[in-house]
Amino acid sequence: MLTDTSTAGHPLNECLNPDGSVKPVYRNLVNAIDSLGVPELQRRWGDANHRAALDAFTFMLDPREFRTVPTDWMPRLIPEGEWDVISRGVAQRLKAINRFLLDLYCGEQEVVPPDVMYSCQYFNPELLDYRPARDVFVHIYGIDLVHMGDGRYVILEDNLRIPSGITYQMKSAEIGLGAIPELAAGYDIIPYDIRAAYQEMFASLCEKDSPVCVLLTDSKYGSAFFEHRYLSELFGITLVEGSDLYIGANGRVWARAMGGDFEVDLIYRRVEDLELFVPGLTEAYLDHKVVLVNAMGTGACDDKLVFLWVPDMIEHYLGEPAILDQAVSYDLRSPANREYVLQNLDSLVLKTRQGYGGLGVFILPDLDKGYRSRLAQQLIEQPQVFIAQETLDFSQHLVFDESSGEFEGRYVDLRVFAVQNGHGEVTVFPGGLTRVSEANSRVTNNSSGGSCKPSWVVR
Amino acid sequence: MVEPRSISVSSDRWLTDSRVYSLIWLGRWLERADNIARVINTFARIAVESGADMLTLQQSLGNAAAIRGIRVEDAGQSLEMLLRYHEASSIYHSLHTARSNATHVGTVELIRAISETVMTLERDGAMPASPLEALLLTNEILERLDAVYKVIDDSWFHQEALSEEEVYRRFVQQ
Repeated sequence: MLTDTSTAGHPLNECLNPDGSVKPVYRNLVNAIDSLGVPELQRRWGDANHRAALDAFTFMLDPREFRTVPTDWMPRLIPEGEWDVISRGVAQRLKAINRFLLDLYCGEQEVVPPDVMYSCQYFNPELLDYRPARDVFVHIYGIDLVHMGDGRYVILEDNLRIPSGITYQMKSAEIGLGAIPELAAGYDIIPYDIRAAYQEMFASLCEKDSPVCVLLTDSKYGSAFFEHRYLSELFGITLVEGSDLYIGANGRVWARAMGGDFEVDLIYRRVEDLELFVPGLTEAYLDHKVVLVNAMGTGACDDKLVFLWVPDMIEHYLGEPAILDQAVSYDLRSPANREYVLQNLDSLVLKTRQGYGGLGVFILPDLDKGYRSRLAQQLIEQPQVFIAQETLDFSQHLVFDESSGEFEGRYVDLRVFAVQNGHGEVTVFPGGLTRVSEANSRVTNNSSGGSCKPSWVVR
Repeated sequence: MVEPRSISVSSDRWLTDSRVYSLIWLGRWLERADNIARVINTFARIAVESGADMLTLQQSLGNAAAIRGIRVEDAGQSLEMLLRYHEASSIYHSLHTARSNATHVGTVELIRAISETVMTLERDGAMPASPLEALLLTNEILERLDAVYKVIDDSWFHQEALSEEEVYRRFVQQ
């Protein structure tokens, strides 16, 4: 049934060749799906969706509505050889960015033009001369890639402030495998242990044995609260809200609790504006009274314009070429680039420098002429606010439509997560989170209507 | 005697102020859902036993709704409002909010038990068309709420509660 799909013709379908034949790595999976048949597959899909709802596996767009994460349970398969390149490329990039941030705040960086850095919203001058614990700025790193269909992956952007989604990687695999274990037949899926890597990272950043670590959430009504709750339980650390924390007379961070308040050594923060949530936290942090994960200041490299110089950071700090390519991007402060972009609006992507969650991303070929013209006018008036990127024709995957019982093609990207501990060791978690676009769209962010699917790295 | 322990799944974690707040509201919203379900259940039982029709049940429930501060323009909608649609005083809304609080302070099993109860009101054809259907539906809701209370009792006083850590460990072992 899967090979009957009308979308088999897309040239960059990861599962099927243009002639409809199944790609070798997917043969076992397709056989398993065909063996189950549509009615059974629909029933299993329902089981998986039911389990997701039971466990409150949610990403809330509106706190008044209970919304489970839309998930397609057919996994994406990444051959081990392809993953090896991705993994090395991600680790390389993380290390280079961390070195750059150290120079930016504690030394003198020579890679990115100063006017770019100083115009960056997330560059934080309060941090100048501040060295974070163990010289690690980037503890948790998320990177968005697209597959070009030939085993080559291209980077779209970096996520360095509070990258989210690792729970969705784990939970979608857990629920999918639980409901439809037949799909794994014939595959050797590479395992990973997020809990051990995070706990090792937390411990390595603190001076004392058995540090007290907490996860700071915005609230139980926040969009990613499921992830906050899940990770705090998985790591065995206390979940706190801003109102739970305060700065004590000794300058340290304390948490209010039944039976007596307690001192906090490390905050795994999942909020952006720390001072709003915990007044005085910046001072405590600068006095080395608490460790923050991620460190303050990492957002400087979240900037879409700084992204252009990451390959140079890799060359400069590691003395080697970048393993992974990144999308060709244009600095619009240059008149020549601006001119080029204005002449090629119908083939480029425009991004605001500080955008996230799919906001501020304009895929110009998909917009009407009037909208493009208005954006062009903004670009002329405020070129420093945007960057432009080539529009990539990246890969599609198949998603199952429960109601029709048919498979359809959708664009997919891949967010890969990595952690760096206090010894500078980087762990990249195999598989990542595959994000799936809506029909007739290339935007994959969950907050913009996208869904996700499990990703397995297979030997 | 069994020693009470923290509702948090791990004994080395603290019951912070915000979790206490969620715990209080978890209890309040569950109590509210239980209370409304019992009111409907009682009126539905009387209607069934006396052979009253749906309109009579709806009108009776209109008075119960008024006690809860719900103004029902159409007396024929009292049951729907109390079961599902009123934003502060329906069983559905109360359970939905209780579940939000449970995600902050409860175990996976508690979240699942409340979700099961919510789902009784979400399935197709959940809205009763007769006093007997109203009776059966609220019987089921009350049974599911009993299961919720049992999970709370178990996780608070007795057996080791199922945590996400344990779910993950079992998954990895597979």
